[in-house]
Amino acid sequence: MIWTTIRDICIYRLTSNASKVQLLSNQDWRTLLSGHVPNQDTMAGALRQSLALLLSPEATQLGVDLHNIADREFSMRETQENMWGISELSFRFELLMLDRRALDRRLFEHRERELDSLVREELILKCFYFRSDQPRHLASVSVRNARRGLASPNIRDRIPYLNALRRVMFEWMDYHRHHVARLTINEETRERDLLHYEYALARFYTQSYFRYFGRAAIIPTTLPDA
Amino acid sequence: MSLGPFDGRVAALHPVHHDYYIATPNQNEIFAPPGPCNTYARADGHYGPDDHTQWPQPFSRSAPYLCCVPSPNSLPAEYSIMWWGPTYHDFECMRGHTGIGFLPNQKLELMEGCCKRLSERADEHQSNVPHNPLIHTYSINLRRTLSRLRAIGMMRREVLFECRQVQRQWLELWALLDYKEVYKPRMEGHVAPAKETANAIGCFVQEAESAERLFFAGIPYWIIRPITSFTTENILSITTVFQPKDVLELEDYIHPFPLIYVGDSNYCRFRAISEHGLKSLRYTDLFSDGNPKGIKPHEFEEAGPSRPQRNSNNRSQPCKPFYFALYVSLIRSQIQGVPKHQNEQHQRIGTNSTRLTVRTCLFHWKRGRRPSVLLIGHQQCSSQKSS
Repeated sequence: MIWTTIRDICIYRLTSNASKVQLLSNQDWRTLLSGHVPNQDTMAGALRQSLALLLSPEATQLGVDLHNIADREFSMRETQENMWGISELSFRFELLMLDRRALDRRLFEHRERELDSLVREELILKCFYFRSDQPRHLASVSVRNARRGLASPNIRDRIPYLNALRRVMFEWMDYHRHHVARLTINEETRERDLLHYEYALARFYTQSYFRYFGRAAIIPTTLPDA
Repeated sequence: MSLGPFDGRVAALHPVHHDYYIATPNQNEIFAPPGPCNTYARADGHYGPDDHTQWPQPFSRSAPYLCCVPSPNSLPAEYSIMWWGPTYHDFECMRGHTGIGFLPNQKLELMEGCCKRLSERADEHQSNVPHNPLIHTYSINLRRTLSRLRAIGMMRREVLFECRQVQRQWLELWALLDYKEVYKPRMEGHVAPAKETANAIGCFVQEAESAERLFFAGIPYWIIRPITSFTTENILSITTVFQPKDVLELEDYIHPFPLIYVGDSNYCRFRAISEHGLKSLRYTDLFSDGNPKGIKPHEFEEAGPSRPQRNSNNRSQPCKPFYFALYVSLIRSQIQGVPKHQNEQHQRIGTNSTRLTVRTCLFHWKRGRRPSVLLIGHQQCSSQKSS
């Protein structure tokens, strides 16, 4: 499976501070993932080579070979797990990028230090569940956590992570004008009201995402029990 | 013989400025004072003679704790990993890649243990005294750097650099806590002067006042003075000066690290090293498409490397490509009859004999997304009309 091989490269690129970032079109991805041995003589082969460079130019320079890919079949469960991992990674990094765009910088007067991306990322990390033996890193996505945190089937288990997300959104544009800012919950709040709280947060998140990126946000997902 | 702060257990002429001499009352060697810096990481990931974790630097009033960095292997054996130098073979490649990998797990666990113990010490310190933001920042950055080292497969050069970064941050935090808890009270006369000299890297000083404070704190130091000022100081012996090339790695890495600072060895040098070390923790804007300020929603369609015509195939999909990747992989793995899924929340995966529906979406998020898009579209239209 191509994805399991390029996954590490993608994560490496996602988490790097490379100065150049280029978005790929669907056609670019189709070519990259076509799985054929690249042929420099054809346009597709040449494009695939250039995409391999684009994915990891430094790595290619240093001898990382994207083309020694041993393809294999995978089970339905593996498919689900991979899909969940992709979704989770996408959601996390979309949240990180949205936070940069949506921050209302007027709220940070006299506390500019808190605008630092490292400080903001600390807040974002609190939105996700990490096992004690797991690195607390946005790219550390473990399928063992696919029913924990925001993906827990129990709303009361999701609440701490929803509150963390709300804390992140607290300094976003228009948060204080949205009705989610006026919602209050406590330990005795009924489940139905907690679900309404979650819905309001989800709505504000997806609205904000659409506002800045012009398309639907990727949202947290869960996995059925194995 | 009892020595004072300006006396010399050993002394030597300054190797560059011959009208100056260097003396130390609490050390047995004289190190060469740093000259103008060309700061970059060397083959071992350290910054050669500009690295305050392995070579004494001029005392900095802005970061006085740096002279308290413990000397190599001066702490109990359980902390020796903080001076361990990864070799070419200390690298475990990830499956399918020849150049991306991790440090050996055993080493990472040792580092994790050290960082945990130091974090506990920092937390305890913070609970006893007024909150110190610098200690808090160090704790977070240390944890973040180690998490990155554990979580992300990187190239050999980056693994080495990040490993040194963890070690550097750990040593600096250790030094900061030692400074706050042990040395600063001595320097300020709140407790009795030191009876022994600390096993620390130390520093160079020129001001008499700084020398006195370091003397009472028991921190190694080398005082640089004009020969003309020499009057009644005691010098027990004259020695030669240790040069960086005698003890440090000065060779470049095979793919050299970038030059990050040129100038005097001062607080700016330290800031350059710190900032450069943290650079890897800061992400590029993934949707910037080469534009430092990022791009606006309507620009996504025109972004990307090759856009001969505007059609649906050319639309850039910053994160959705991951879904597309999986979709193609599904085809590749010969699961027959895969319908093109319309959205990522409700993937239908079919085979010849079965048709499975994978429900992965969280209901309230899915519900929250659908109407919100319409709502925002409506809001935007409204705002456009009003404007």
